[in-house]
Amino acid sequence: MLVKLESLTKTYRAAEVETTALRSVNVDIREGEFVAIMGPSGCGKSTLLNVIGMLDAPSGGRYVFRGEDITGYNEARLADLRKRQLGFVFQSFNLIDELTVEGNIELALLYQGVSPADRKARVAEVMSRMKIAHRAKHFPAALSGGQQQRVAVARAVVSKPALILADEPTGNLDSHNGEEVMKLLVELNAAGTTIVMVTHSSAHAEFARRTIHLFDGQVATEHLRAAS
Amino acid sequence: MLRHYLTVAFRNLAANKRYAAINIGGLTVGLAACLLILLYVQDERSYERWVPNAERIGVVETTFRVPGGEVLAFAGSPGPLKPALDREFSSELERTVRVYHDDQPVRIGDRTIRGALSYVDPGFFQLFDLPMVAGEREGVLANNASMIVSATTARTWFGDAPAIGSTVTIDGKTPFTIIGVFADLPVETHLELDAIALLDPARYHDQPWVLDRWTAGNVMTYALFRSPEAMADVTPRLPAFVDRNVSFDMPSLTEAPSTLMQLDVMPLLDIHLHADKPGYEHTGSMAAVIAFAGIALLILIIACINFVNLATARAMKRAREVAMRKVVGATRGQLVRQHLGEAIVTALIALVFAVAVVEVVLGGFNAFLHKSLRLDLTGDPTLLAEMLGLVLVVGVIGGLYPAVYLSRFRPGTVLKANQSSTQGSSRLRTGLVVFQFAISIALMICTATIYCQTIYARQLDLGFQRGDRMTLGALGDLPSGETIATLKREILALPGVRGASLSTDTPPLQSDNHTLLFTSAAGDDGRLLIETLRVDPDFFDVYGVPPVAGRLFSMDHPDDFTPVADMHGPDLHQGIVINRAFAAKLGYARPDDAVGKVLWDLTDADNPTVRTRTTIVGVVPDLYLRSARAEMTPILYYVSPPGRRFGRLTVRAEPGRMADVARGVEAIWARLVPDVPIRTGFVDEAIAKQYDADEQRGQIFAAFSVLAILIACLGLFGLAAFSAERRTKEIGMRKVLGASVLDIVRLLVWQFSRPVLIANLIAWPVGFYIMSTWLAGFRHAIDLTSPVLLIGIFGGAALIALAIAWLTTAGHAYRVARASPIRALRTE
Repeated sequence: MLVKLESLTKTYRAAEVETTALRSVNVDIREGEFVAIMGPSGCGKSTLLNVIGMLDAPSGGRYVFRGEDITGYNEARLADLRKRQLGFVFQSFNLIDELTVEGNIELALLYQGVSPADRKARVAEVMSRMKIAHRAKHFPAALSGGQQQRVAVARAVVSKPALILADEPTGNLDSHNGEEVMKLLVELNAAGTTIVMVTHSSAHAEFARRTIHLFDGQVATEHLRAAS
Repeated sequence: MLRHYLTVAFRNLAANKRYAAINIGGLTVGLAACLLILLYVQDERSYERWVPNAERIGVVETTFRVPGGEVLAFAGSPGPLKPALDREFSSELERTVRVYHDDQPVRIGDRTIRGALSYVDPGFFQLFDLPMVAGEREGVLANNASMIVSATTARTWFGDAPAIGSTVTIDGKTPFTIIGVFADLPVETHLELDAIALLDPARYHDQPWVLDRWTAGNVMTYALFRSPEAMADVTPRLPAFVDRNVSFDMPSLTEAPSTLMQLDVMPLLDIHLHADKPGYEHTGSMAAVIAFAGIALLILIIACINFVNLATARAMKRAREVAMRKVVGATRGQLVRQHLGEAIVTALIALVFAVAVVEVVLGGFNAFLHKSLRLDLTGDPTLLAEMLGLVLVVGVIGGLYPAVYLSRFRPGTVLKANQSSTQGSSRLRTGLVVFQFAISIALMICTATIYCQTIYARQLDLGFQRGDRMTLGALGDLPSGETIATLKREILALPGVRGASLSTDTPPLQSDNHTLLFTSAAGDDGRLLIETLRVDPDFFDVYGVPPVAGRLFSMDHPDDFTPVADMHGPDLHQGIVINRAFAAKLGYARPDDAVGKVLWDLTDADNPTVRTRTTIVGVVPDLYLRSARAEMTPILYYVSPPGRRFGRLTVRAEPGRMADVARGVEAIWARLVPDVPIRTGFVDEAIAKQYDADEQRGQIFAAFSVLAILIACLGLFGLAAFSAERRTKEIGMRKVLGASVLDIVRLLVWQFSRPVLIANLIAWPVGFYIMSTWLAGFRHAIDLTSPVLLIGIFGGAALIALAIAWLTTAGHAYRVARASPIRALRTE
């Protein structure tokens, strides 16, 4: 089991108001799965993704990652796990404006302490796979939305993570570019990478093997798509 | 990784030029100010370090404490001190040398000029290793007919002609041959050496006060100790030394010599910043050094605050980057290091600019301070290390908070939405702006107060009139008392001259003469050590001083002029005029009561059996003959028989005719004594010169205040720009709802007026406290609590700060307020 969430809750406190984003969520994700998370706005999709991605700590419950209970881990240990095991793709790409395409992709390897020669080789390899090698020296501002998201995907996969978390990866893209990105994710999944994706699009959710529907912070239904 | 950080740092600076310019500009000015002050402080602390063994050399200073008199302290010491020290402390002292500075006429060929001559004991060069540029120095102390001169003196005296081998005649009688030329002394010394010759005791038999009397302090005694510890060891043994060796030869002084005279050792290295006794040249001020260092620090803090403020204000712009780095696994430590590194890089860039700025302004700074500071980066590793240390400190102070603040962002929140969550740090920013302006306003208050006090001190009623009064000095060089009398007579006949008077000194007084008086003829009680000034009967008239009781000296009272045998006995009799302070010291509340009272002078050094009965004939107001800063001390004025010589002559001209009178005086002088160099001055100029150092410090203070305000404004400008940008949408909404341009400008300007107004509440009491403390050091100070000064200084500073803040922010406010609301609302 890659991810095991048991009775997970997450509450936010802002001034006097307490908001419960997740209530007693139980989710299991196996190695190699492609899971889509769907649900109306404010149902807790992104919160769930952030918790799985170790960007946010749960308020209650247990989070077991590859058999390791990480619920009480401090930020440094989470950062360490994150950089070795997880990759992220966001709706708004979140590329760093001051870094070139190459620099953005290289970033994760930099923090892992990969040697310069190794970094260069791996970045080159992933850029050619994502068909953005010709844009290596460009800054994000010069790229189209589709290209930017391909860079973001490249950045997510370059460190060969066990799990890629994608938060509405196609939300800012036109349908053509959206399809392209979905194909990339499917390819990655086929190569063995586990993928968890939040999406609004039922069409894109179809690419996943399993769909979790969230409603009001709780898992409403789980829907398994028959193997094609 | 380092290269990656550097790349990001430079790209960030390049992408945000205004932000970079404000940060780097502010830090540049702050660092440049710090560098200048650093050089200044280093220079102030480098005095006498050119002297080998400086840490083992001390000057033996003298303080006389005669009961009933003022404490008299001098850098100089009595002539007999040296042989006594050599005898008693042979195991602690390696060598002692005396230096006797004398201002004498020097005849070179057919012209005579005044020269500053230093007569020194053999062994002088073992203490002060003067490098020679020509000739030799050892021979000069082997006989009493040789002299060496400084390179500058050689040029002044001989022009392009060779100095070595030339002969000069000192004081019209003693010939010296120049045998060497020494390099000019470094600026960083208290010594003033133009010409050096042997201190030959045989020449001073008729001037016993130079080398033979324990009651005088006319020579400087320098002691080279065997170790710094020996210096500390000798000091506590000096009172016993005084008791064993000193004798005053005055029957009326019966106390143990050590209670009357105190010797102190002033370490050579401490003279410049710590010496407080008169007699040292070019001394500095430790208080000024501390004040300047403090201001430099404040300026740097203001620049650092800009850094903190702009970095946190812009934090949201970098939040995504920070969050993304966290997502891919950066630890908080790595992020803190990255942002600290960026701050240090920024400070380093600012340092490079600051060095350039310092190179440009150093010439002017030097000219202003009369110094020769140099920024020598390659030759001075300490300075380089200090500068880099400064950059590190600035980087850490400016960068630490933003680094910690930024690294705290939670990627989950930041990456999801582009909301502005900088409210938390906006309170801190406002607080820091308040702090910056509090410093700026306090500096303005200090500057204005110092300026007001300087004006007040310059215009202070000194008790006598100082304008239109010219002085002639060095009358001692004239051939006879008769010549002096002729000079005065002829000057009085000049058109435009209202009066002339002779005296031993003129204000501001340089000399310090005291006499011991007793209230009874038996000398058994009422002992008074009182300052004296010998004048002629016209003195008070020339200086416009009326009596407050009794009368002034008058030709009608011949016994004012000469101590004559009293008809009641063998005593001499003399009339004196005293000041109010003296009358008060004698216990007379009303000056009238002092008139007619008798005091006894029992200590005529030349004639110990003779007593002089002095009668107070009049009382004059307290005259500030030295500085208004000095305490008013009792003084007595007396006149001497005609024919006795005086050192100085004051000429009072009719208003507006001083130039004519000066020309006439010079012509008379040139005719009467063509061989003697004339030395003229003006009383008002000489008095004003006393405040030059104060004024100079005031100007430095003002300059640095301006810098502080400038940097604070730069920061405010940046914040205003940021705020206008951040509030664009809000402003658009307000306009849609009907707000006018004026409403918007008022809204934004008020946002920045509030911190400035709050800053006043902090700056006023602080400024008031600091300046009240400073003013307490003056005898005559402005009253800070007077309404005019309160409103003028404190209100003025507040208004200026507010006006500057408005000017800084109104531009942005106006631009944003005028923009079309449609465009404003589209910015998100």
